Amino acid sequence: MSESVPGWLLAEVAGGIQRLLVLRLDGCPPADAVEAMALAWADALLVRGGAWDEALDAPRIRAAFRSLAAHVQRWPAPADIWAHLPERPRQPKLPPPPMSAAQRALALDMLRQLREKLLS
Amino acid sequence: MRLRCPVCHAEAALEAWAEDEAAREMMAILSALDATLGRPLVAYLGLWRSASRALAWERAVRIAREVLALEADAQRLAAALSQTVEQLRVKRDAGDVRPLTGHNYLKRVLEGMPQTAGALCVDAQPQRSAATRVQAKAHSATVDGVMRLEALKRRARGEAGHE
Repeated sequence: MSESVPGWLLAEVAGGIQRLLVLRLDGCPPADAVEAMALAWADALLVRGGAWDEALDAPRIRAAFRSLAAHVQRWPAPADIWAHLPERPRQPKLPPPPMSAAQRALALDMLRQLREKLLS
Repeated sequence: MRLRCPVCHAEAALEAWAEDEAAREMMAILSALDATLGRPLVAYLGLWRSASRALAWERAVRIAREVLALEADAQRLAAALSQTVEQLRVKRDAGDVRPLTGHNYLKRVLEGMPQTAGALCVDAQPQRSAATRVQAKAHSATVDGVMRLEALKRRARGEAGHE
């Protein structure tokens, strides 16, 4: 594998594979292949997911495997995880900055000039 | 030393937990178990808790003892517990949040274990030797896989990265 898979990402994927493994789905991998499978899944997520952040993405990956386990009928492919991956939590928006007296005066002046142009 | 419950966020001193005889007994039971069995057992106990009330330590101890008495093979029991927890969590996600009142579900899963637990993954490898097959049947392939992944998780968490 060309890129280094972060430890937390590999651990999350291994946990997800564990969840799927106990379901004993059709096509499940043999026990001695699960580590290689987890590495391959983690690498696939790394390649397609780009910049992963543990704090933001670890809960998403956990939720995705949980949802996948609830819906899947046979052993899934790494690409199947994307249909179950929730969006990143959005940062709350800041309120608009308060307008200063100078800005307010400038805006009113622009409106006045505009009105004069329209009326002239 | 004060500890906070990661589930209900109640806070109490470690000394207070240790003073409760049943809590102490529960910790003794869990500390004697391998993590592969201890984790699914704790998750299974969580299925007995109602949405509004905590599970009393005395009841948790009684349930844990009943579960451990169901099956002598720890790995087989761990696999059955994991499967039970997974399947009941799916039901809970679907809206059925009633707490467990008996072990019938677990018993049914346990009954199905010898025929299915090792067979599916073992049969996928016809090239294995007869000796390996016997060993794999005695030691569920599912549990073996889960344990391998548990070790991988520990290694991954302990390292900065993995090539």
